[in-house]
Amino acid sequence: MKRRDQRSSRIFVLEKLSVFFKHTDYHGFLHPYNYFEWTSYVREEFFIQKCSGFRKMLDMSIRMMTTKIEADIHNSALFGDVIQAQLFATKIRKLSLEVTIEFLNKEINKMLATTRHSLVFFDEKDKRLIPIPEKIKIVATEYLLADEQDG
Amino acid sequence: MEYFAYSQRAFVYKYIVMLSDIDQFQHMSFANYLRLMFLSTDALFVSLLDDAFLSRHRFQLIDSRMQFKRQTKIGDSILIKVNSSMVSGGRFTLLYTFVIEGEGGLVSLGKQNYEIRNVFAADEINEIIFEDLEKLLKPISVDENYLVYKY
Repeated sequence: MKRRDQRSSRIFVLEKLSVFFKHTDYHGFLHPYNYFEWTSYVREEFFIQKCSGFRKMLDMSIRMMTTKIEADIHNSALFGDVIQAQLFATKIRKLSLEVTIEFLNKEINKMLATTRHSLVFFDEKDKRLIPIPEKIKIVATEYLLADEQDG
Repeated sequence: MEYFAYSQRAFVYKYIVMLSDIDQFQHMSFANYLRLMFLSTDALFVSLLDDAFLSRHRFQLIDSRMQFKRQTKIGDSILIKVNSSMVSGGRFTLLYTFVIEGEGGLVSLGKQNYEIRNVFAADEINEIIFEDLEKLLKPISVDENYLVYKY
């Protein structure tokens, strides 16, 4: 599993994801499904905040699609926990972008879960995959894991 | 929505894509496929999930992954075929094949690793629970090495 280290480049932080009753399971633990839903929220917040023109781009025929997603669950979370999400890019290829999000409970200093997902961009009009739009590629590169930049 | 035993080799959960499942791009949002993976898992185990079981045990997700092959739209009928592999003690893997009913087009492939845990003590699981679990999982077990798809 790729992890950030001290040499990492920038990370995007979403400070507060609160665990409400809706998010818990029969036994009171955070249901792991929520990490997938939050993954979509965190990445969209990242693009909205950091990529100017993101919304306008989606008004055209360009679509962002998830091609795969993985999650590793490390520790449990409970109602009332406050979770911080940290996003960074782990792979940038011509046609695809891999994004990793780490979910942390800062109060007890524990990593709760990690998700990794790959994105591609699709031109709805021409019905074909297109290279990562330049504006997205630039911002993703700023948040690319240092190890990947080195290697 | 319904679930039923479709064949001897797979548990099948059926879901029709609803208006509330889709986003502004007229396709089902990726997180909803993950939700369906959890729903089909619940459906598979529903016969086990009585108060006696739930008061002492829970299913702990270890990791989860999904690959997306094509998008779905309102009215698409998705069959989620669930198979098991690596069933050993309280640990097991579930494999999910999402296809469009009728035409058989592949929508997505999922894989989840689970462990059954005692709510009160990590190492105390009654043998009867393992037997009940195996009764559900063995009839749908497959060897991942001999499957057409890589999950």
